[in-house]
Amino acid sequence: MITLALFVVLAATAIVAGALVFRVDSMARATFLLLLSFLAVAGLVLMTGLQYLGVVIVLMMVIEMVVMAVFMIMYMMNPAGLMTMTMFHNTRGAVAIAATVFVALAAGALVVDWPVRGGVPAPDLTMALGESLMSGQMLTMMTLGVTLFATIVGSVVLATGRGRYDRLGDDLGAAESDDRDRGGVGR
Amino acid sequence: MDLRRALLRAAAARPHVLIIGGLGTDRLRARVEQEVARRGWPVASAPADADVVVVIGRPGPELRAVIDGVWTGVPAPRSQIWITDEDEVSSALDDSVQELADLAAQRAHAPRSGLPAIHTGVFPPEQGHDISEQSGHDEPGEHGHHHHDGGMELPGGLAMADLGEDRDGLALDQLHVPLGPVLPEWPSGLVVDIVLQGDVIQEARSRFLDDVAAVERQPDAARALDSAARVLALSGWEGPAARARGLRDVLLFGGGETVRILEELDDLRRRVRRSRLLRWVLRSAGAGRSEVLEALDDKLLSARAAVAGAGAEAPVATDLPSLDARLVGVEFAAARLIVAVADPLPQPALARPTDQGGAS
Amino acid sequence: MNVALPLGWAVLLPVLLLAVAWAAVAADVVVAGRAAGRPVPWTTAAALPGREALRLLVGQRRRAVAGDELLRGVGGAVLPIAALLAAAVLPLGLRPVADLGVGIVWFNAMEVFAWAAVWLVGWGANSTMSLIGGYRFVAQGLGWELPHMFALITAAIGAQSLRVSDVVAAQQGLWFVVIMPVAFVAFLLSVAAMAFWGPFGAPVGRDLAGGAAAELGGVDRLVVLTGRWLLLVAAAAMAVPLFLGGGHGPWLPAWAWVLVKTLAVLAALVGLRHRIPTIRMERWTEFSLVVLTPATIAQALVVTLVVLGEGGV
Repeated sequence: MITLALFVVLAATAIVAGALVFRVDSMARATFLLLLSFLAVAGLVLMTGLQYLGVVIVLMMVIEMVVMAVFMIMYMMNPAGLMTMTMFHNTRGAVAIAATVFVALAAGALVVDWPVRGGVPAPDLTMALGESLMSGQMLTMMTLGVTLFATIVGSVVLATGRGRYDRLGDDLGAAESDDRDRGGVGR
Repeated sequence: MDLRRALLRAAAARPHVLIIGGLGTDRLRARVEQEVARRGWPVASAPADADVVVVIGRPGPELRAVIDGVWTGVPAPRSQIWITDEDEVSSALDDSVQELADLAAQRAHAPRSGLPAIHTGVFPPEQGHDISEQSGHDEPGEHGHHHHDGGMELPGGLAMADLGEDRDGLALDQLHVPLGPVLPEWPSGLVVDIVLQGDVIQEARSRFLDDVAAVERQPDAARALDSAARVLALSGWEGPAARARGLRDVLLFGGGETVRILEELDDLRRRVRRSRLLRWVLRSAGAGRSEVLEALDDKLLSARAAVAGAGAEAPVATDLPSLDARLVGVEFAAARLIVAVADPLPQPALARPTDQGGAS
Repeated sequence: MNVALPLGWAVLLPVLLLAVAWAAVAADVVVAGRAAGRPVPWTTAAALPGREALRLLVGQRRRAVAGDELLRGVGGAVLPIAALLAAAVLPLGLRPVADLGVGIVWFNAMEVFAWAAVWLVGWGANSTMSLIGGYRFVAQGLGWELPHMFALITAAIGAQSLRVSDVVAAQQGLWFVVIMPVAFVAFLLSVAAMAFWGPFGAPVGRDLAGGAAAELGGVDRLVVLTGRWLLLVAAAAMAVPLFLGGGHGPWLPAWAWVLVKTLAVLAALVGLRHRIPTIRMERWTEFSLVVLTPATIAQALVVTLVVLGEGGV
């Protein structure tokens, strides 16, 4: 009974907060409503007994949304989101895509037979998850990790206006960079 | 009812004090700061943090407008006192505690239904307009004209941001904000109108509020120590900053022997020079050279020379245009240090020869 | 094995944290007075946290003109709540209030809520100073979060468990601080940083007239300031089970050891605070990413090799 009530509350929060993201006028509110939606989803994951995944979703989503907020200030410095603004772009296309995806997913859920559980859950789900990721799925995870990291480094290199040859000289011989705002190490 | 009175009295025993003064009130400010420190009262960081607003000297019309704006943002229980003479400092502070603990008076004067937050150092809308127009930042127009090109006036007096290129050439938002005159560790009466992007200053134009004809000057040693204390406090070194202020007070109002002052000054200088972390924090671009740290050391040195009666040259005060030039392109925390070190003086005072030196 | 304390302790936990925070504030006042050359008597200092709290309770609240009251309120409330939830996995003795299998990750996830909280408080006030303060904290956070996570992971590797009570049990013989000193130092740095306190106080710095908290008055200010001290206490107390052997020690009962060690960590932090200037974020981020992060990764690697060498996993 409590489980059901909790499930309903979390599921409703996830959907309503997600929908409200498109109803509010402030970018900050939209960002943190999205976070609320994710937190409710993390709660649902926790309810399935996947403690590690649930808590990690909380951890990652909080950091992610706040980092998103930093970009928001960069582009729009008005504190408290004074100007009301619309959160929609390309309305018609978005409606078409959203409707198609919803119909496809809903149809999938209704049409396809749901799998029946075979076997029992591992005694320690965190341990089982770790073993799966670090044995069977090792290659996938390693490829994913390195690709993501390479993407981050690559985009920073492409975006930076002053590379290390500008900062440290053509032979990289300078003891310290000549940046205006000096970092803590000086490289 | 009695309980409320008792609570109010207990809460008023250690009020946070916000000191506001115009140009040329430094000596009186030092006296108030000394008395506040002696009582162990903290100095408020912002109007929201203040219980007692101490207005020192006789503020001109521009500063008066700022004080009114600040006052609307001070939460009740609150008290405003005006001090024009060194003799009344102690009794005025006592009166303020009385007023804070007076339930009836606070009830009568408290702003209804919560307080509007005003922006620290930002003028209320009307004054903001007038001043920015006077300073020639904006072409004068009818009242209600947009604050700045493309900008939009919004509720709360903060101008809508507009776009500008950042250091990497990206078009990002800019804000137009006046810094001062009510800011912690800020030179009296100074206002710097800045264009801010993120926390990088893109344009700066500094001015003094209210043209004060004759500016009372502090002795050079006290002035140098005052500025050094600001730099130390902004660097987060509250202890040494308080010690520097204590030395300043001894120089201004007596109460210590020259030998002991010299000893303490040497001790302070040694601590500043020896701290690797301070050097790390203050060091700016260019192979470890630090303008701020060197200037800090110079100030302590010149204070020492003045106390010792060696007839050192007056510390070099920066004029406003060169201060503006140095602020452009720096990050906010660095800008605060630069202003604290520069310790600018209005032009006429710069030209006057310094006749006072050493302890007075 | 779940060794959680009875549920009644959940009520006692906030009281305990507040009491320790009270002591920490009082000690901070005493040390600050000594640093400034104006000593504050112990009796005054001991009453001071209560006096300040009363001042803020009596004081009027402020409403930000055109500010986002909702977000500011949420941000302020999240701070103490996050601190309390983070402290739930803290063994008070040998047993925590909530003995989660992923306790270390839980602690990390809760304390990261401070990011959102400080940013929201800074944003909602509709003031430039608050805004700069709010995002100074995020910039600092990006700097300390990675070394902090590696420090947490290193302790978990040493115990081969994410459960905090297992980490304590693994230190029956040798405290982890001995085999992972780099992780310990990185953790202590991030304790001060996550509470935006002391050398990491730039988000509420004096140069910003109080930064993220600049526009807060009355009870709003009290909630944020209390939340900040609770966060500091909870994080400092976490150093005890992770690196300082938890409740293990001779003569005294386990709870007493936890208390003594927590107070010792706090005393060290408070004592150091007044010797160290505020670290500007552009200095901190580069140092953190270029020096501290590789150092903590190397530390984790060394500990992993030691664990493998002893035939672990």
